[in-house]
Amino acid sequence: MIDFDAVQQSMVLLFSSFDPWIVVVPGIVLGLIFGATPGLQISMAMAIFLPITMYMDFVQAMLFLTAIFTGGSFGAGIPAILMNIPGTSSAIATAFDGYPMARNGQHNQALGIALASSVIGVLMGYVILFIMIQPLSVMVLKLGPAEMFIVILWGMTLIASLKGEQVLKGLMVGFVGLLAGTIGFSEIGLARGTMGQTYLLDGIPVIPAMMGMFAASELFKLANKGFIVESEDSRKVRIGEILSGCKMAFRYPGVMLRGGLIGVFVGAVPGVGSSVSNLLSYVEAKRRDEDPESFGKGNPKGVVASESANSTSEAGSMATLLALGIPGGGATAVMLAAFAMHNITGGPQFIREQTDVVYAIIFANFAQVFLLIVVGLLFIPVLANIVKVPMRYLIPSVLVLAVMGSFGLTGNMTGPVTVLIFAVIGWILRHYGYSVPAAVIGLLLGSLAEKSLLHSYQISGGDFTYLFGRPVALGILALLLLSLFGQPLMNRFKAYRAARA
Amino acid sequence: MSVQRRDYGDLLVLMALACFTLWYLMDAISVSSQVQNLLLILPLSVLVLAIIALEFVLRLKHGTLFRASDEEEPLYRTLPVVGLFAVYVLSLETLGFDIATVAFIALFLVLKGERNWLLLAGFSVAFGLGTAFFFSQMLPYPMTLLLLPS
Repeated sequence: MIDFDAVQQSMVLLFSSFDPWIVVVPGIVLGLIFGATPGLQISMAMAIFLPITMYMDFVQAMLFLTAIFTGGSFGAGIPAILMNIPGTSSAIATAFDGYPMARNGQHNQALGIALASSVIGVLMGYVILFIMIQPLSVMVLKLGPAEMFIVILWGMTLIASLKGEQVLKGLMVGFVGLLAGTIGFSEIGLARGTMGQTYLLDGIPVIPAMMGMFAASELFKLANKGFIVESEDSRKVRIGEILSGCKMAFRYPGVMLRGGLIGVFVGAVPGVGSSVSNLLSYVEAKRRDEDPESFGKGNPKGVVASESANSTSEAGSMATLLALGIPGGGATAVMLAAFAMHNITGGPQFIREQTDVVYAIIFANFAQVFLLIVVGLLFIPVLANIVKVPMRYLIPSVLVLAVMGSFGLTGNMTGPVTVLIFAVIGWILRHYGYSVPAAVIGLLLGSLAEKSLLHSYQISGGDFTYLFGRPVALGILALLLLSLFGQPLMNRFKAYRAARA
Repeated sequence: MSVQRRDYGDLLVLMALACFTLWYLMDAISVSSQVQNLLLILPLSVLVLAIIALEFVLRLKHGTLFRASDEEEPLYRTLPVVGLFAVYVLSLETLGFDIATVAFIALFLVLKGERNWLLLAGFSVAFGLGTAFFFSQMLPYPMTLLLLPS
């Protein structure tokens, strides 16, 4: 199950020089800042700083990006607790009980609980990943291009379904994103949709497009806000009380373990990730509690359930990325782009041939956990002040970084112009309630989807009955249909039963 | 009784998505009508157009064709910021990354009501020139700079 030779090699990769570690603390700090600032996303931080990773080796780049991820998972809980504003969608459930705790004067304890739960969550997730990554890679080796294509469609469907009542809109932009992702030269050497522009022959520059859609469009939305948090009611943060909160989290090991398991498995499902896992974990903790009525009124278990689940989701989504090469959400989509920048394709072959690199990423995350405790305790008082920075200073600064970074990626004006075009597209899509992550992930996976479908076509000779001989493909197809039609059918069934009763 | 504002924006987005899909399908067919070329594009385009048609019919049925966005802020209020960003990006090669960035930050601050001229000038010059200098030193490509040494 565990390849000990690869373990040894991974240690050499990590500890033969100090270089990989230089980027970890800055990564955690960036993640904390972006996670703790409502409106700024972890994926946004990763997209903006992605160009820098071009000048790092692959392990260092991965350490930097996972450090942002780890820092961001905890950072998002800070404004959720202090101001009832989740930094990202993964901390929505943290606000349910974290904010009432703050209002009861227990904001320091709540921050401590969030920090401890996040730390244990990340640790638990990567331990599971370490044990499971080999069997997972053997399992996914059995997946052919047909299965990959259906997995891509399933992931797209799940991402598109996140917005509940706007599933059609999500599917629409997700599939249009897939189409746009095939612009440029195809596998068989034909150029489509380039409008005669040579810079589109390689397709739409995905990373600048992502920077525009995720970062710039969100900032446009916030342009008329004076401050991210308008209230001037600043709260004092005390380290001693935060530490007592850390201890408090360990009083609920069951809630933490359940949250961790929900996080790692839900996080592994493409498109679902931490946005859903924190809510599922919270609902489950409330459902099983002896006093469910106390939830929403400042029950520490609510914070533990949410934070342990959203932190563990990181390892879950990393599993999907490493084993299948499929990003589970915005943050891992950026990581997939980093893979491409280093000419590395995630998937079974990557796990088999570069197990040492995979283990190095996992071990580095164990270390990141301890660094998160130190950095978290040092930065909580500082981060609480970030929300006081006026938006008129924050917005142009981040936009400038996005433009310069995109120029660095393409080496010409294609990058900045792509950021501009996709920022406007993202801004309009957001305004009318379309799923921006679905569009971005579609754009990112378009060419992979076409390649997988083309290979399946070539293997099967165009015979569709080939699919019936592939039970895994049929199983995933069933899951896809279930995620699309399961809930509406269940609702109808319940309504039918209620009508008969 | 409240009168609901008509918003054509969402309908325009729907039409834009349909137009893009149709145009891309036509373009792909004009390049080659081989199965290998249209294997994904043709069925996916048909699916997208079907979803758009379904969304249109559903909205027509529910009388929500011109429903306003749930966002509180109308799009036009953000237009000056979007316009300023567009001018910034398009002027980078003419004004240089250094001058364009300083001007963009300064104008953004003015647009958003900053009236402390010392802070405005200090921040835009320091941040604008600082980032332009940092990136010009970091990147292996030549960046157009008017003030700073390239």
